Amino acid sequence: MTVAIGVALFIVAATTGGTTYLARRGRRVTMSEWAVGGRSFGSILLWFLSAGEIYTTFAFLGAAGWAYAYGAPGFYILANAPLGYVLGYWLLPKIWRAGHDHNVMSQADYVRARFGRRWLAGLVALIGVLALIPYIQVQLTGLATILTVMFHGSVGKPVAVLIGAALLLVFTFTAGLRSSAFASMVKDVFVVGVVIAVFATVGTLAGLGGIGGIFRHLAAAHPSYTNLPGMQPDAHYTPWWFCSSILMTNIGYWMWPHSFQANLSASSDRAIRRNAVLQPIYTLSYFFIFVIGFAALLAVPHLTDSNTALVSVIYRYFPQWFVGIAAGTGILVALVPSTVMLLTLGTTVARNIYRPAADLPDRHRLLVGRLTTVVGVAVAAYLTLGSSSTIVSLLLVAYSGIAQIGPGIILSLAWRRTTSYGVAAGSVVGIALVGVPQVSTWWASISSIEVGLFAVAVNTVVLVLVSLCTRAPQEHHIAVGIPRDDLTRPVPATT
Amino acid sequence: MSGPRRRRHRLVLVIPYLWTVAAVPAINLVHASPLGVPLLLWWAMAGVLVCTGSIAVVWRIDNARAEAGR
Repeated sequence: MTVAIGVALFIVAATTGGTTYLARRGRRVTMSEWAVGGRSFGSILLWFLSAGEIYTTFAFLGAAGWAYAYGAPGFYILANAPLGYVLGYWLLPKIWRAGHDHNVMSQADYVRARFGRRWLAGLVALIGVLALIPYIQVQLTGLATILTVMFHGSVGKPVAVLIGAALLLVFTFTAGLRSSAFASMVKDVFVVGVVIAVFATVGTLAGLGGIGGIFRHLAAAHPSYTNLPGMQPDAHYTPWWFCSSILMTNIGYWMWPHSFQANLSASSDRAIRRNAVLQPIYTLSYFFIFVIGFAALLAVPHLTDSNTALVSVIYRYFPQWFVGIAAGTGILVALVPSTVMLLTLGTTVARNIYRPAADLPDRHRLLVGRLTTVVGVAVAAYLTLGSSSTIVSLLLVAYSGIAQIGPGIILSLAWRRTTSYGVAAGSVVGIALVGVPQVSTWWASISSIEVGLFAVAVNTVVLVLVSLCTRAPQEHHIAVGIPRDDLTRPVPATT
Repeated sequence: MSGPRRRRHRLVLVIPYLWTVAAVPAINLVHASPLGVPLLLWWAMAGVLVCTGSIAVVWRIDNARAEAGR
């Protein structure tokens, strides 16, 4: 066991230490540097940065866990990122351009520039921060899962969550976004290596007879896994649920404050579009993760917590040094994307929620950002201690929240008539629908469609109706989201 | 050239939605596992390629238009 822990520690320490050193050499940390990496990332660096955000604990542990627990319902995950980039191809260049032309550094900055209302920027920022908490909870759950399996019962969940939270804070504070892009490269090499190695050998090591054998045994033991609603029909993961979850996560996909901000750090809109072509391919590697989850179901059935499926099967059948590499990778997988989320949480609160109108020195806001980060991690840790949800369910909760700012942001880039009161009314109604447990219970009794998508629909109707009854923003505010030359008016024939 | 005509090729981006969302209830009715892998998993993975392919087509047309317009 000490071998595994030693290897894991070495990987995490070397990666975080090395990348932090590389990133900080000769650089002073300013607010702008901390938040958007000086707006100079090229497309290769951006590719790794985005990959680091997509291939989180959700992919590494969550997808395997759902393959283990439900089967087919987990396949919805495959559509998540590729469809995100289909929407992004249209959406992201518009956002990037608003950022580039109007010195926008965050999502709330955009809302403020587009509608000229500080309170609306604060409201959108607040929804983003609230939805980020369950997302950080996903990472903490992953960290705690890896630590408890690694130390095999000698470390309880509270201690594991505390260690995870401490790791998050230390890594986040040592440097900003740029170091996270370097760490993301190292992490991606490791995660791809580990996943392929386990995928290729787990069938043989567990005595199931290769990859074909895993599918044969699974079809015999759990014939219901191949089609919706999967192995637990009572959970109501019907085709309607499947489609509505894909659409809900699609609407929320670019609404994450950190995704929004990462997009702003691109060097050009061309880089963003080229990235959108290449990025979805990475998603195919989910196939390996599903197969590992299936192998775990056959090799280590009856786990009390499906989140542990991937780690448990590695722990059971692989040599110590490899367990160490896998655990170190899992820790990096949780740390790297969390850094980006936590930095965004900090900057959002520091700039858009904490006394947004006051003229405060840069250092003052940096301090507020860091304090907020500590509070955010503490809240997420507290929630993690009391929760037994699967990682995938936690992320769906987060998405049902963040998707509620989707109608406002998307329409603000396409519909000139969108008003601040429309966006506010729509998103507040949407958040209320997903936030009140009675509504979810009532909705689940009449439909298996995700309550988050139902809320998005109501949100959009309210937004449109209220917008039609209130006064549109001024012309120069509208132009932030819908620039003049972007209007699809025919050019006059006479010039 | 007028705006709407320049953008018509962007409708290709609707294809991924039809593939990965609209078609799923029908595909789910089929109980088959070619080469042992469930059809729904094949379908979802092919959907990844459909997304990339659709974006690539639109990207190439956009690029060609941008060159021509310069």
